[in-house]
Amino acid sequence: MLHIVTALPCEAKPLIKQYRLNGRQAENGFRIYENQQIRLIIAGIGKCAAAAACAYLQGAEPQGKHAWLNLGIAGHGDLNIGEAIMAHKVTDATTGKNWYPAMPFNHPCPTATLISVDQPQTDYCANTAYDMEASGFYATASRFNSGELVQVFKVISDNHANSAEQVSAQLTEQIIAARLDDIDALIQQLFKLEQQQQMSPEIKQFQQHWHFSVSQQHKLQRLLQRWLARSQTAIKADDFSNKKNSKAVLQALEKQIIALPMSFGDK
Amino acid sequence: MIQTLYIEQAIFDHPRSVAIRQRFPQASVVTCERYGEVFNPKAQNFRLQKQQPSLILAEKFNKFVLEAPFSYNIGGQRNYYFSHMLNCIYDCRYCFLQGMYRSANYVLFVNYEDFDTAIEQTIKESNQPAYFFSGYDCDSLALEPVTGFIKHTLPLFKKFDNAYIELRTKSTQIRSLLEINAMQNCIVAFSLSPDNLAAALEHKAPSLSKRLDALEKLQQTGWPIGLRFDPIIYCDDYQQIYDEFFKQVFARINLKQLHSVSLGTFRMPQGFYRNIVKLYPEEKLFAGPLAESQPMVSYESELEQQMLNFCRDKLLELIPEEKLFICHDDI
Repeated sequence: MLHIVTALPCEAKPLIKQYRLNGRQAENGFRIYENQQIRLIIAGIGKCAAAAACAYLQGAEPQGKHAWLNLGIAGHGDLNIGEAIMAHKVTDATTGKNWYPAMPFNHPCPTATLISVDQPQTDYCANTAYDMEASGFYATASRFNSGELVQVFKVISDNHANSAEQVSAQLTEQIIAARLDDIDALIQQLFKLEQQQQMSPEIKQFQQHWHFSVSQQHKLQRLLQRWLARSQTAIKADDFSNKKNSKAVLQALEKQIIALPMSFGDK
Repeated sequence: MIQTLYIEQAIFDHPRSVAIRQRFPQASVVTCERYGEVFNPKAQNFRLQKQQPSLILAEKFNKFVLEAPFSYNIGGQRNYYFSHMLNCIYDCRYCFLQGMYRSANYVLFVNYEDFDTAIEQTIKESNQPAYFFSGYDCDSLALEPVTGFIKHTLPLFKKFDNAYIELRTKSTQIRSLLEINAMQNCIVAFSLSPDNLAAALEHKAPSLSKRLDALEKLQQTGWPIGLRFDPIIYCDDYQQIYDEFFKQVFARINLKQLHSVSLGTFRMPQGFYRNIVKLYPEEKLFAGPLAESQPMVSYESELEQQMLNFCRDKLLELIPEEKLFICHDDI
């Protein structure tokens, strides 16, 4: 699942349309839209709101390992309205703390340093983007997954020539809609990375048949991984149906693993 | 190759930083105060980063030269190592770096001259020949075209006949060595594994035959050669595989140029091992007959001894005993 955090409804609207996200019944606190793969939350403006939105989504599924994307608009010293950046460095203007999102994939647009400020910015340093959410988002979301799966994508809405005061909801919607191809390329990359983190599903089959203590669950997980590594075939819980309890299952599984061939391809 | 270059602000204009920036003109350049801000955070996944690592340019301030464990010696009593770089461009599944570091990004310390000073001081303070190992936290040669570190450092060793340097590598980047006269106190040590194991476990590294070609070129131009059969990996037919492998390797070796051979089985501190298994749970290497509950995870002791004995006996049919060194780790 990919969690997308936006500040404003107008930032979210093109994504809701593109990915056919359905709005949840009214919940306290946040508006949430989702489909099978994406959950989008409209956080409101500011770092605290972004952090709270991340915590809200994760809190609904504390064990979940999700990809995270902060998507929205930003000001920039040099770039034109409508250009997009990914943040390679996020700085909190108040605390001076920095985060460096790792991007082990081809990014769909240029990258830039992004400074999160408390008030809309009117002075822009060269080569730097400004927003009001990313540091709160990053500080919180990176607690729930590794940095490669926590990314920040911004479309430039204001610069020296066009101040933040001139940014309308309509303009925001337009410039984000115009970058949907880049956004989709990034989302596909995040899905690919996220898939590499998923655990083997067989453990659930075993848990349905027998009760495993927490330490036995760890042992079972590791044995199933070893089985898969050595046999290259999936294992079925039904194959152990004659075992009375979890201890007997673990013993039988270990015995079978030891008997499997151990080779590394052709000589 | 490198999409993102992180550079410590203090060395942004260092000549080596400038040269490396010019080498990667398309890379995004990101400044930081200290490399640890990028390299050390907990929320990183080594496996994901390894798909496209970035390069971090940094300055090192202390601990340039450290004592190496005696059990890794290749004939010397005084053994040291230094790391001008952290991490490796190859992706060997048995490598401890995956379990030691949170980040797969490469760190290059650009203040080479400070390494020189520390090495020189260590040599002068040593009352016996000093052996320096440069390939502990990285491959000594793999990124040489970018770093130029070996080209910079070898002249220092020319000044001393009581100091040796080992360049440990799987690389074929030997041009900088072929351009200069062979040095008898510089051992170019190739890490080698049988073809099938190299293909399965040494991702992104040159094939065995390419490594042997590079080794042969260096041998022909007079460089002392080292062979590192470490780690030896268990598989059902390991005896046949390693027997054939040793014969294949030694068919290319001129014993007069052979400085040393070292041998060790797969082993890993338990903490590193657990980190790596979390990253690569599906890896066959970790599904083998390993004693996972030991402080140093290795093959079950009887098997480990059998493997070492077998390989040692086979090697002693090919080389004199004084050239063979067995590596082990005791905790």
